[in-house]
Amino acid sequence: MKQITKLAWRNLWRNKRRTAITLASVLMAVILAVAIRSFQKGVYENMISNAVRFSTGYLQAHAKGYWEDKSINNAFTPDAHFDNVIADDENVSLAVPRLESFALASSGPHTKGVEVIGIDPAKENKMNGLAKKIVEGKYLQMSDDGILVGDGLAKYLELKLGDTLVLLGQGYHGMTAAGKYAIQGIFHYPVEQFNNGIVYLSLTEARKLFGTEGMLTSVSLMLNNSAQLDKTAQRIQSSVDTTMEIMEWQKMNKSLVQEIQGDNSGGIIMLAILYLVVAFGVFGTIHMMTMERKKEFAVMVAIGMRKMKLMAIVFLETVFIACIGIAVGCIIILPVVFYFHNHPISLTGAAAAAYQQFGIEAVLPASLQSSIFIHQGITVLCIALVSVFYPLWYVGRLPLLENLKQ
Amino acid sequence: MKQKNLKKLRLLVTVILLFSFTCARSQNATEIVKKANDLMNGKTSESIASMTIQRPGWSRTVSMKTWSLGNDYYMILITAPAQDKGQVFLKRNNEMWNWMPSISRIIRIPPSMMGQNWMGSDFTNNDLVKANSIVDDYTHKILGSETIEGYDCYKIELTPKPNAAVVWNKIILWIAKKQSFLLQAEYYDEDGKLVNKEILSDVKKFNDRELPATLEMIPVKEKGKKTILHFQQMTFNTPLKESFFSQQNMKSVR
Amino acid sequence: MLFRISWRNIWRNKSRTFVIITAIALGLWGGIFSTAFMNGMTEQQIYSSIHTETGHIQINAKGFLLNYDMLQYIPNADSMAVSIERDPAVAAVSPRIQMMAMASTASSSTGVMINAVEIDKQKKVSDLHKSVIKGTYFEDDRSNPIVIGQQLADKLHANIHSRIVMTLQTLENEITYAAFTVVGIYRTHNSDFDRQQVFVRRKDLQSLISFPEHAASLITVLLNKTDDSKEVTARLKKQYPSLEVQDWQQLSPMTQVMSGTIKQFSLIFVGIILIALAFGIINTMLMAVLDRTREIGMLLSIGMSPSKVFRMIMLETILLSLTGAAAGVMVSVFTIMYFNHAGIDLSMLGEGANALGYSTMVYPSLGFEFYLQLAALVIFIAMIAGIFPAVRALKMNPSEAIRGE
Repeated sequence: MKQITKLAWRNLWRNKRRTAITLASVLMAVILAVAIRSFQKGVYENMISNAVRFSTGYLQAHAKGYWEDKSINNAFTPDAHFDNVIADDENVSLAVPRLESFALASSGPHTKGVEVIGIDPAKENKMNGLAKKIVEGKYLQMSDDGILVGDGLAKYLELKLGDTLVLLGQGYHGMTAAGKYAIQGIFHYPVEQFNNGIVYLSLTEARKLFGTEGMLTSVSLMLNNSAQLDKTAQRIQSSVDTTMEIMEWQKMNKSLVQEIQGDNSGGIIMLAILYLVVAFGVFGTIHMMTMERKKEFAVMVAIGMRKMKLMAIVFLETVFIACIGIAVGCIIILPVVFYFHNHPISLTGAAAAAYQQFGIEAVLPASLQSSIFIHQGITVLCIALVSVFYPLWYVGRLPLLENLKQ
Repeated sequence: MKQKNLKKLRLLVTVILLFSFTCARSQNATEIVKKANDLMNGKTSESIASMTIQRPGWSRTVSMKTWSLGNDYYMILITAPAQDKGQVFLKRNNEMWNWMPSISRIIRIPPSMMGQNWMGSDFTNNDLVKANSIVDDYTHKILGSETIEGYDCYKIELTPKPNAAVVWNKIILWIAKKQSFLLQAEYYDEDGKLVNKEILSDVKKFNDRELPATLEMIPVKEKGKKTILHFQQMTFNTPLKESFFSQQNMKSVR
Repeated sequence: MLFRISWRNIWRNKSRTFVIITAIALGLWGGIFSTAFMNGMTEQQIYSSIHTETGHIQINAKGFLLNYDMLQYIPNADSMAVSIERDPAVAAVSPRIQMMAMASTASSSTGVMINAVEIDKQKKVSDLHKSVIKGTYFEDDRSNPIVIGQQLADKLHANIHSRIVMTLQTLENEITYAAFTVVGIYRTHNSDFDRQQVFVRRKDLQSLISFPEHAASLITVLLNKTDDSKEVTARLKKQYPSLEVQDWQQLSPMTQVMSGTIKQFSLIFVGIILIALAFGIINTMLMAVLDRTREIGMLLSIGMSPSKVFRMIMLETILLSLTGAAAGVMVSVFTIMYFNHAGIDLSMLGEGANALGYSTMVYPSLGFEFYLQLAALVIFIAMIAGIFPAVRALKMNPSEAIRGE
């Protein structure tokens, strides 16, 4: 065994040029595959990060049963233990508390159902830049008793800055929730529903309105490393009370999941096409290499080396080249991916304009997930292993002595 | 020849008798239901009542005064607890308004809120608004008799009329034969599953009639949930005019 | 003369030649097919969006889309529809009433968007009737028939022949209730759409809410050619200045965003494929040249000038590229034609492929110019790639070369 390994290894270095060329084809395969996959995944990561920023966060902590029945009666009281678990978690970059429920907004002649969201203004702004969306008036402070209204809603209710808005709804345990608020600020979101159906109050005011002193309906969590989503969710879930539920964004945003899956399936076909092209490169190189060494193989067999041994050597040679190629390929492409992860390619044209309208960065970033490297590496290894069948088959078929005459 | 004609005649008479009997029975069924409904409402009525909402983990009691004129107008004034005191609900035909003294506003309840629970109970705003629905929107059939709480009752099945805007696929009512009040009701959905059960009990004399003083509405599929309506006082046919049921009056009613 | 030598050189080593030609053909096919595929994806999304949701152009009263206030309607919609239909670029026109309402069953209630349509006209502007999976699209003669999405049916526990009670607001600002019977259940691959949009007959809704006859909330216009959209929109805007006229790109900006992103991404992807191709060619040609060390050494020693050797090898590369390109184009044409007809069913790759604009089938397609552009590009790259090995050949020392490796 050791002898075969040594032989295989020495063979590689005996003909440097041939080894180099084969190595290069494997390198190329890995580099390109990783590059493409990294960009594809980077785009998805971007989509997800934007979607969760404007809604539930990567994870959301709420009372069990809240997601299915978002009634105010399913609010919870966060205790010190809960706060500590969230604050101490290494992967949580931001915890945004909210108290929200449905209510009627009325301005006299017009009434419309709206979602009332009680927020911690500073934290909310950190998560989705709400303060920047204010077009008239000013943003909320925790101590303010005014209300923020979307411009679409203000228009419909025929209200201006400073006018009074009435909220009427159902509070905690069936009590009637009713309140009057001065419009302190008007915001504009590029997404219609936000403009027409959401109002913001400070958490203090919202709690007063719904009779939920000290309570919240949800805490949205933003993460440092989104790839660690599952682990973080499990970690927090096991530490908090069993009445609480830590829900992952996929459950809360099914349509985004569908969209990504749909796009991904197209992406996989693209990747498959790429593999066809590079696989052929690898196979071609190995094929030509085999042809080149016809004489060498014949000699080995003629001087008595058993065919199995020869095949083992050839097999190992390819495995070595493949492994070296994959490793070196990953090392080469890693800084490139790293660069584009931190300095994404900018999109241009109409697409970019549309993205910006939504407040999303118009970029194509690269993803740094280790799974990309692992998956592509394994695939390329498989390609190499499949390609090696040709030389093995060839050796197996070698008639003795005849090829020497060539 | 004569024999054949006689036979035909007998057949005809039997058919007519059967037919009119069935008709009479159906008519009876509808009349029975109408009578029960009218008994609860009278031409006009006033009452003092309390509603207890029971939930797993909490319960709440609301006290109120009510006024009604037929099935089209009524007014409810909340008298307790303190945080809800002074609220008034007004119904005129299909519309509903809510007066909130804490914010000095009258708000009209839009279609989107009509399906919501009234004051957190197991009654929806729709239920309050469509009070006479059981008479007008269904065809009625007597299924038989049963004894509930010692009273001999008709068991009547209600099937929605073709274009009736009702969600129930079937309702079964138990109405006391002699006294004509409703003692029990079961509400069924499309799949024939029981969704709500209504139990009336505690028969007392109110003003000029006997009625159950307690009404329990139980959403069968959800454990531990119940709304109990308890009438302390009821008077009927007091002089109430349509003008009483106005938005202005919401603010001044006591 | 050189040409003949080069040509014969190529065919002397059949397997090597075969490998190189296949590499080029495959690279070309990869670039062409992937572009066609992405093209197909985008076209599919746009087609679905236009034919199931928005139509090419939508006309409504100014401000209607903000809050769906049904008081903001187009009073003479029917006559407008007739006149718009006369435009040669227009394929079909359908006016409809749109309003929000509450739908209730014994199990639950939820807000929905009612679309009251003229059945025949609506069928021409929208493909939704093809997505009906249970029941029919208004072929059942019931009173107040309604067609709902599967998602909504699940939420309300409703099925065919179920009764749904709608709580509506009339134009006279009164609340009214009406019972509808489910005659059809549809399913698109957009769950949000399925959950919200319900369809009823225009005349049924009209009588329920006292909506003026011949009026409508929206007019949807379908054109014969998507390319005419901007032009016809401009024309209609001029004709009806008091109304809001929007084309499909304004109505669904996300479709624009998606297709733009895909186009840019496809450029990057083709670039990567070409890099792979160039590399493959360099690699294989290099190996080929080094393989022929002896032969080249022989040629040099019998007096062939280095520049001629260079030209010979370049010529070989060119001939190989042309052959490979021709093969690649042929294979591309066939595969694209086949899949354009049969379609690629993405649902086997994952359930969520649904979100790809309401359908899982993709029909790759490509304009003629692309074939030429890509083929030219590939040949160009092949030639550039061939330079390196050719130069390498020149650097050989003839005497060393003859002696073999």
